Amino acid sequence: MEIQVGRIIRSSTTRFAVGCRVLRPEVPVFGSLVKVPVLDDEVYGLIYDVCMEDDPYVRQIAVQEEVRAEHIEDQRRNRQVPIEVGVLVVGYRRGGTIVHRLPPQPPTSLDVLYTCTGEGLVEFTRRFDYFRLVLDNRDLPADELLAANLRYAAEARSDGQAFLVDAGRELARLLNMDLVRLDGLLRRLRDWA
Amino acid sequence: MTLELNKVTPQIDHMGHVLAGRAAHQGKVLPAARALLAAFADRQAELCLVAESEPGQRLRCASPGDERLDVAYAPPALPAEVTIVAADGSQIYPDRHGIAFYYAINTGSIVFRHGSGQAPEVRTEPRLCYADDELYPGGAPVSGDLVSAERTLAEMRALAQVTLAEPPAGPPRVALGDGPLLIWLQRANLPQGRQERILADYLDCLDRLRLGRATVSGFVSRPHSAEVIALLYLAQLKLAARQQVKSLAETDYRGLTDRALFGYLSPGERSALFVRGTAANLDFRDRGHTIHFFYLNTGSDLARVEVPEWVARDPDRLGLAHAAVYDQCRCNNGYPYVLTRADELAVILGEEREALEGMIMQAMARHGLSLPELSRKAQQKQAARWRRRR
Repeated sequence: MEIQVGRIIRSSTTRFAVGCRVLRPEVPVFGSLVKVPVLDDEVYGLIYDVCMEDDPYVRQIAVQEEVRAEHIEDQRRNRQVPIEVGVLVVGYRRGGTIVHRLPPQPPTSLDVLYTCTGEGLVEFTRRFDYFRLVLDNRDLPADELLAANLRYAAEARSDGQAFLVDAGRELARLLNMDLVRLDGLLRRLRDWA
Repeated sequence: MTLELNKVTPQIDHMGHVLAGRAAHQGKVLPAARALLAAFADRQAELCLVAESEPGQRLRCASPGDERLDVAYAPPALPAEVTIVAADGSQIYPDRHGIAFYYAINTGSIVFRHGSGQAPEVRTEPRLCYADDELYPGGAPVSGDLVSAERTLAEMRALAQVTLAEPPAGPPRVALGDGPLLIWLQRANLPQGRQERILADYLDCLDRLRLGRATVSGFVSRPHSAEVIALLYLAQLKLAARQQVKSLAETDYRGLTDRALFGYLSPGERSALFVRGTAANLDFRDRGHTIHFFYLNTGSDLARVEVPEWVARDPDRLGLAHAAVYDQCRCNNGYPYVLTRADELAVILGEEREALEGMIMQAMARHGLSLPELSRKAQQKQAARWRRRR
């Protein structure tokens, strides 16, 4: 089932930011695959960050001896909004075909972001061409991000273990010049498996 | 730097000296003032005559209520559930050097359901004023004073509307305004008709709140008034001597405030009730809304809380106002939480004003006007100040 995460507040070809009101148990989740309908296409991305900014007022409240439930709810639901969700673009769908490349155009302001789970997640992760779009981002926790995404993709399959073995092989091919990094990534997958 | 601090250094030093001297002087006279408070604590009738006398009116003396004056009243328990509503406003003043002659008022309000554990309800109500009768009331360009008065009225309207929208059968409702309840409109540059309309509308709101059985109060942070001090000072003088006093500033009690007088209150305690001494209170009295006040130790400050007479005379509602305001302050660094939030909701920030004026410019262009620009004076100021703003 698709769940609305929030709406685009800032976007570029490679990344976009989404604003949402509150954290719910199921969204937004680090490493999860998400999509934005853009005209006839869909742009896919991975959630790499969920950020709540502070301000002097919430800092003051945080250190008070007594913090009331109404104050907490006010901060969470009225003041600290939007919660900003960072999304890394990893592909798009055009004419029914999923492409693991950057899209021709980014989504625009206030486009809606949805979760992509179950069949949609399985379909997107049938191929591993998007790995490089993730691994090339050294300013992000790219390895952690990819590992999290692969765990969700494995969970969505009946043969999750085999899927992870295939993903590990692809990672070994891509990172054969960086064995330390490869080892770290494979350990993350193995820990889960 | 155009403020050459080296040139002002001697003045700063002298200023420190003067302020220290003033504080020392006030420290000396304060015990005498408190002794007067104790001496007149149960002589309300006598004090009322002083307040109503010609010198009392001239010095805007407060009148005492029925309570003993030197007693500190502890806050009653707050009911488990109370709905506290606050409203505040901000404005963009009209600027003939700006891109267009207009003004704006933004009102923020919050409904805080104490004891519910729920997130408060918040809302804002922006109003853009550009019609001829808004910009040229009585034929002259609208003044900043009039915009301020319109903002005060908008705050009271929001307070009444939001408070009365809460179910009367639910938890008791407290409406809290930012600043005095008593509005002062008798300024020379407010057209007479407009003054009367604003006052009438404001009093209508109080009528509705009274009818709706809400508890209304206004919170004045760090008040500078000396209405009780003036009353006590005059009361100790012989009748003839009272006639000679033109202003408190020419007496030993110059600079002494009611806030200092009631500095002995402990956190949560309030002073006795008094009646505001300004002439504007007559308009309120005529409609049954005579404004009373008490001082409250909010936990880290001394504030003045104003209430209309129908709250002041009802012990339950007075206690509710006292307890609710203190409770709001207790968990928010000595200032009501709801007022902090209402201000945050209402305030128009510089970047928001820029965005608004960008939209106004687009609208003007869409309707065939040439792109508006700032006056030459504003343009030149902006250009010259650019380096200092970097």
